[in-house]
Amino acid sequence: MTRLLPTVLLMACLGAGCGSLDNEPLRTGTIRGQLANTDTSALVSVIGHEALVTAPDAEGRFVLDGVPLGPVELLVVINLRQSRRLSVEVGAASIVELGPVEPAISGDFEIYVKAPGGQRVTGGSAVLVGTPLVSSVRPPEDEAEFHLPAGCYEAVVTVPGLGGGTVNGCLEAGGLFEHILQLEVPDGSAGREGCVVTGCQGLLTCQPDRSCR
Amino acid sequence: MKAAPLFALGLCLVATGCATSYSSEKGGLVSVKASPDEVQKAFSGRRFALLIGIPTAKDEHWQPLRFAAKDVDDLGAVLQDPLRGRFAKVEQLTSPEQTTRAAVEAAIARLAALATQPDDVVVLYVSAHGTLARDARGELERYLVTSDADFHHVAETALPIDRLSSALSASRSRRRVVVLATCHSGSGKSLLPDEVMAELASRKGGGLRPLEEVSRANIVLSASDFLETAREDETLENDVYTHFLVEALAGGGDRNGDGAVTATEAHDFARRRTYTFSRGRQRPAAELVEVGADPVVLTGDIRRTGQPELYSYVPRLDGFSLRVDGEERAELPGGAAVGAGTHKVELTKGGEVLVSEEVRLSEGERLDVDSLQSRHEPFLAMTLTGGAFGFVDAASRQQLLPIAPAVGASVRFERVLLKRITVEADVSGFGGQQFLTLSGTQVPFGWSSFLMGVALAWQWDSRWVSVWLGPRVAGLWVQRSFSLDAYNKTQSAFSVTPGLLLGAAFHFTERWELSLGLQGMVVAVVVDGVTQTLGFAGGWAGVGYRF
Repeated sequence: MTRLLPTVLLMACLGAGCGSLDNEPLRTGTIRGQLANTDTSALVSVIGHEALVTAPDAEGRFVLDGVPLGPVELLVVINLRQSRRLSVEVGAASIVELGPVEPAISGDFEIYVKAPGGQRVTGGSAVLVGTPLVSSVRPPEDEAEFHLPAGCYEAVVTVPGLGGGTVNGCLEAGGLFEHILQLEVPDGSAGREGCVVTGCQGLLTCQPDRSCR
Repeated sequence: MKAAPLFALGLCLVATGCATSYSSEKGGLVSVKASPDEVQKAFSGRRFALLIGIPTAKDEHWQPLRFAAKDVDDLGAVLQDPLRGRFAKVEQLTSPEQTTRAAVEAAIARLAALATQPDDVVVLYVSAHGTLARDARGELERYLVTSDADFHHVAETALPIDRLSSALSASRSRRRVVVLATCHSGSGKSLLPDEVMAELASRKGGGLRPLEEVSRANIVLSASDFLETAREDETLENDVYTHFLVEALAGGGDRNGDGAVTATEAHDFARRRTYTFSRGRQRPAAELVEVGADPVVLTGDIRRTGQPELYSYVPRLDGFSLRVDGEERAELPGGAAVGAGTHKVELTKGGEVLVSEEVRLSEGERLDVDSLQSRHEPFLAMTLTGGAFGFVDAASRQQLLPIAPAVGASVRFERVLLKRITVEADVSGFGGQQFLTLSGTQVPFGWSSFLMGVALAWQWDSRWVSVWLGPRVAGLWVQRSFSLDAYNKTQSAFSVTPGLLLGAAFHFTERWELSLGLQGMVVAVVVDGVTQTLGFAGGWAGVGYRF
């Protein structure tokens, strides 16, 4: 057996050098379409594949290459008020022509981030999972917001020194989803040092005991 | 079966016995031509013999044999004759003290030790009662009734027949001759216990291993067929077969006239006369395993080139008649000498002509007629096949190539180099439309494949079925064509694949056969730039014709 195996492998190697069978070109497809109403800030992405994103041209035409086989969902965000989600079936090495994509009214997905003890939230951000969309946590209300088509989403919020959290919620067309995310400052982070490090929200001031009043 | 040295043989004669001597696996003699000097030189070894006659046993259940001692004397005389046998040593044992089980075994050991060269001829002859009994494993065995044998304890006191030849196998001689003048039929020179007689009656002769299966002798010559009676004869004053054997060794058996009497010549002579004398009731039989140019010269010298001889001792030709130029010359097993020249040789049985062939023979040539018969056996089978092939693992069947049908043809050459070696070459191919399954998505594509292989197999044959198994090397070529929106290309891959072939053929007529095959291969194929070693298997069925 010990002599047979090398022989088998040798013969196998000899035969393996000729030609190949490639499935890689078959594992993806292409989606083409044109937005009926476009904007310079518009983008088209495949939900679940953050890297698959493109910006339409001036006429609203877009092409997404390398889209994995099977059913996928497109997220089209045109501007603050218009967006669209589309289900698309992608075949092997196929080109799916969507035709004109009509926009729908966006809803607002808003997250209010609250730190313990009235500390100020600085430099935070929220990432919409499975998409390339990112929103900063902005003062004065320490709010992150997305303008999205109807559907359910998950956002991950991160604030330097104060930790973060996950928010799940669903939107209706033109609707509003609001969520207050109360941060729990992790041990060893800068937030544990109190407002001496982070400062305080609004008109509150940092007291000698490191609390905001 | 390895090719025997020119003279390697042993001989087992059951001169007055009734033991069977048929087997299933025998090779044929080869035609050899050599000058008298060369042959004589080859036979120049010394000759030794141990002749044992056991006329009486202490247990009176066995009646005394009148001529057992005389058989030994008569045979001893011709073997020691300075003009005939010229044996260097002939030891004769006939007294009760000399023929106990222990004494016989000791004498055989002495005989085996005498032969120091492969060319030495060793002859062991025993004329005695034979019997059957169950051995320690419960198997029915043949026993030689030694002078101290006990009728009620045969297995413990008598000498197993197969021990005679196995003891002699310790000899360095390659020309061993074992002559067993015993009988196990329950009549003639045999007496069996009641329970054995009852068992034999119920078996109607079957169940015992043939002698040659337990003997290492290369030639088995039997004085009578199984359960036939072998007899002593008052008028001959000998065991019948032994009488004619002695007559043959005295010179009468020199069939080809070369001056020497060989073992098979002597047996053929004695066989014919025994059969005639007993009016067909005693049929000496013969079995040769591997023989060159009849290897054992028992008496005389090869002084001149003998006449051409035709012979066969293979079991499958038993009962066939050998006809030469339209004249019946011998019944097989056996042989006949003919004049040099071209002869029409036929093998016939009951009006059926198995072989009819013109053969040119020269002086000194010996031809096994079985080889003529073998020439007529089909050796080439061509088969049209249909089947299916595919990768062994499900992932490869989904992503590389689904199970694919194939049509093709195969050619099988039987008995290549060796009797059981078969070479099979096959080609098959097909094409069509299939679907790959990638991430749950069906991908249409066109395919074509071509498979060509050669196998070297070991083949087993019976009358109706042949089975062969062996290593196989094949070349597998696969092509896939895609015509998709964004990919319109053809891919191909080729691999040399080692593997195994298992085949079987059912011969439903003499020439036509249904065949089945299974092939397993190891395929190395580059998939997405990475070499993968995958299992590939296939099966086919076909109809073939044998030439």
